This record gives sequence, structure tokens and C-alpha cells, in this order.
Amino acid sequence: MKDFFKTLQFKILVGVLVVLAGVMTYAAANGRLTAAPQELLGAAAVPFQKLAAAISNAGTQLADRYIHIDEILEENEQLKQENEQLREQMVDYDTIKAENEQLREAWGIKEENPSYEMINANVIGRDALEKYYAFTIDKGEKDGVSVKDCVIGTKGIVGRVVETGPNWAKVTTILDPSVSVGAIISRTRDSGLVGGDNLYALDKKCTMTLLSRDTLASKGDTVVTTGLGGVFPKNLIIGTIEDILPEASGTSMYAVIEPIEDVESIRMVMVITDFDETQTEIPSTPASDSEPQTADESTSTPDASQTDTAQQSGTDTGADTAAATDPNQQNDTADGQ
Amino acid sequence: MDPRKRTAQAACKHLCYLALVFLFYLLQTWPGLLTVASVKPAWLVPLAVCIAAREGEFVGALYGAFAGLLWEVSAGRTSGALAIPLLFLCFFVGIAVTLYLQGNLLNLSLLTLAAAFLVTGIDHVFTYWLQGRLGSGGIYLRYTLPTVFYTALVTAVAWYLVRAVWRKFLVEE
Repeated sequence: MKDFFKTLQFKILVGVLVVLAGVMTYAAANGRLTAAPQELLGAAAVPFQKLAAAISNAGTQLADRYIHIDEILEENEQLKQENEQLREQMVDYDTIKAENEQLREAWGIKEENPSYEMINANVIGRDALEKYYAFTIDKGEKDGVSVKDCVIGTKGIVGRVVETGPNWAKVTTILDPSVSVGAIISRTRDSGLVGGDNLYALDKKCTMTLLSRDTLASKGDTVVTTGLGGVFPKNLIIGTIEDILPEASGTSMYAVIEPIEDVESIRMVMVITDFDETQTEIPSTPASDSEPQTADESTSTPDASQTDTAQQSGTDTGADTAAATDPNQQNDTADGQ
Repeated sequence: MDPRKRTAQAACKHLCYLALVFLFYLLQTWPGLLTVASVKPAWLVPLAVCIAAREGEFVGALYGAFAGLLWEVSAGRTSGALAIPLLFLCFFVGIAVTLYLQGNLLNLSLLTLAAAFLVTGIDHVFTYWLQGRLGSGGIYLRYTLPTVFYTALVTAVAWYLVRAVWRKFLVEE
């Protein structure tokens, strides 16, 4: 055994270890996760992961077919009259049908928000180490996806892009404590910060902090994005309030949010690669006309750019906060991460 | 045996091992595959351990590093964060099996259990505990620890496949 340490093999191992340590240091120093060789490895694996995901989806659809057999037969008869070719290819029909439904809903979102530039993507990988249900999608830099791009489902926010490769991208969900979203309760117009919390991530829930002690929010209220910060577009649904509890300090409240999207089982998402950041004005409801305007509504663009600058020069948390513009809030996100 | 044929045999064997690494990477990242209560096994760990047990500490360490690099792509970890621990663990697995232990399924399952415990434990410390966020202990008990045991359970799959490849390309001395 002692002779092993004098052999060429041991020196090779030490060399590999030094290279790995150097790659790690380089990646950490440049704010990246993976190095170029790993991006190529990931790119090589993407076609196989897409095949595996397609098989998994086909298996799930096959099971659904026997559970909801009556509904599917009726729908099949209606679709037969519309498309003769899909009826002959049953396997492709199920796949195309699911994608068609997704695209119809995406078009609905596009009509409501014409400034969005969106890319459809499939979820092709989920790792065993991921506790916040982060996943890999089959679109990357060559498709126009970049780090910090917002990722949505058909109903609302899913998360944001944290790492990109040539033909893949890593998406972290809103259950991740490193993701913060400037949010507002649509009914009461209370603003706050939505982000992940380890305690609630186990139940697939997140929290909205910095709510005032006299908030009128209640269970069932919808929480949407403010659009401030330039990472997440405005008026995207985040989720609904499950509970409202006092903070440990007692000076404010926080809400437990159930995300509108099922981040654990979602299979198809849309990446918003570009949107009009100038449309950050939040429409007010008639009941809130007597409430004083917050600073973010009147000084959106300059302060949003300041927040963007702070994000880019800071950590890669991508905090989309309203605190830079709202004098009533304190932003402790950047300090804590 | 002809040296060229011996080299070709070795090359084919390592190509098969690389194919197994990619296959197990696909299994590990396959959405929903063998997922129980949001917990799934880390397939690359038992594979790296089994290869180290068959091929020795040097080759095992290299495959451990490669498996770790691939794992970092899907897990979103910094380069080297998983490769370096796996390199060391597979190195010691190779030594342990060469000098002290038999390479049977039970021993390798226990070695996989220990390796998964250490790798995921180190990852948990740097990814969750050192971040200072509340609830990291709950995440460890709810997700990380079950992942360790689940990973050890699938060692048999890696063990049989690695043994099949090793026997197929076994060079008679």
C-alpha cells in the first residue's frame, strides 16, 4: 500500500484532484455553478433525458386513459371529426393533444400580455438532491434562455432560471429560499416579499413576509407579482394565502402561500425571455382608492433599474424586491444571502 | 493474450462503464421514476462504488470523480462539490475491498450507504445548514436521510450490471 503513493497512478489522482479543486474555485469565483466541460456533458445527456421524460409522460397518460375512460372516449369522438390524422396515430395523438392544450393556454397568456417573449419547454430532469423541486428543461442559450429568466406554468409562476447550457437550463422554484419575488395581495393591495422557507417547503408551500400587523388579508386571497425589479413580470399569479401568522419579532405578519402551480409534478413550462419592464404600474381596485400610494407606483422605472443593478452586482439570489421603492418595507433579502 | 487484444478488451470494458454512468445519470434525473414521497435514489453513488470495488482504487476514484461531475450538472451544485467527495470515497472503497472486504452485494450496499451518507451529508451542510436558514434539520430528516437509504437499496442493480461487464471483459492472466 505504501508503494502506491509512489506510483504514477497516485500522481494522476492528485492531478485530477488539483484540477477539480481549481475548477471549483474558478466556478465559485465567477459566480457559476458548472464549468464548460460539464455544460457539454449536460448537453450530451439532454436528448436521452427528453426521451426518458417522453416515456414517463406516455406512461402517465396511459394510466389516465383507464381511469377516465368514459371522458376520453367522448372527447376522442369529438376530436376524430376535427382531425383524421391524429386518430390514426394514437401515441402521437396523446402527446400532441397535451402539447396543444398547453399552447392554447400559453396563447391566452400571450394575448393578455403581448409584450411577453415566451419559449415553451419540457421538464426533462429532476435530481435526487433537489429539495425545492428544481428541475432541468430542454431549452437553453441557443433558444434564447438566459439566467434569471422567469419560468411560468399555465396558471402562474413556477420559478426562475439559475443555470444555462447550450440546450438545457436549470430552473429553481419559488419554494427555494434564495428566490424572492416582490408580491402584492390582489384584494387588499398589501405588498410584501414572497420566497421559500425551509419549514414550509416540506409541505410545498412558501411564505409572504413583511406584511403589516394590521393587514386585512385573509385565507384564500390571491397573491400576484408586482413586476418591480425587472425579473418577474407584473400580475403573474404566485398562489393563494393559506394562513396568516405573526413574525417571531411581532412587528409584522407573514402569510403562508400555496403556490398556484404544482412544482413537483409540472411537465411543461414557459420561459419568459423578455417582457416590457416599463409596464410596472399596478392597477388599483375601487376599494383602495382612499389608500395612500406607495412610492413604487410613482417611481417604477428608475428604481427598478437600481434594483436590477443591485441584483447583478450582488449574489445570484435574483431577489425581485419592492423594498427599493417602497419606503414602508425593509429589504433584508440581500443581507441574508 | 495478445497485448492489442488486451487493450481492446479494456477499452470496451471502460466504454461499457461510461455507458452505465450515463444510463444511471438518466435514471437519477428521470422525472418521477421510483419517486416515493418526493424521495428518489441517487443512482450514481452505488454505480461508482461498485466500479471502485471491481476495478480498484485508481480507476474507481476516476469514475467517482466523473460521476460526481455529471451529478453536479443535474443537482445544480458548484463544480467539484460532489466530484471531490466521490473521488475520495471511491478511492477508499477500492482500497477497502482490495485489502479488507469481500466485494459481495451486502458489503457494497453498506459501503454505498456510508458513501451516500457522507456525500449527501457534506452537501446538506454546505447547501442548507451553513446558509443559516431555519428548517434545514427538517429537510435533512424528511428528504436527505431517506435518500441515503433509498440509494443503498438500489445497489443491487449497479452491482449486477458492473459484475456482468467485468466478467464479460475479464482478461485471463
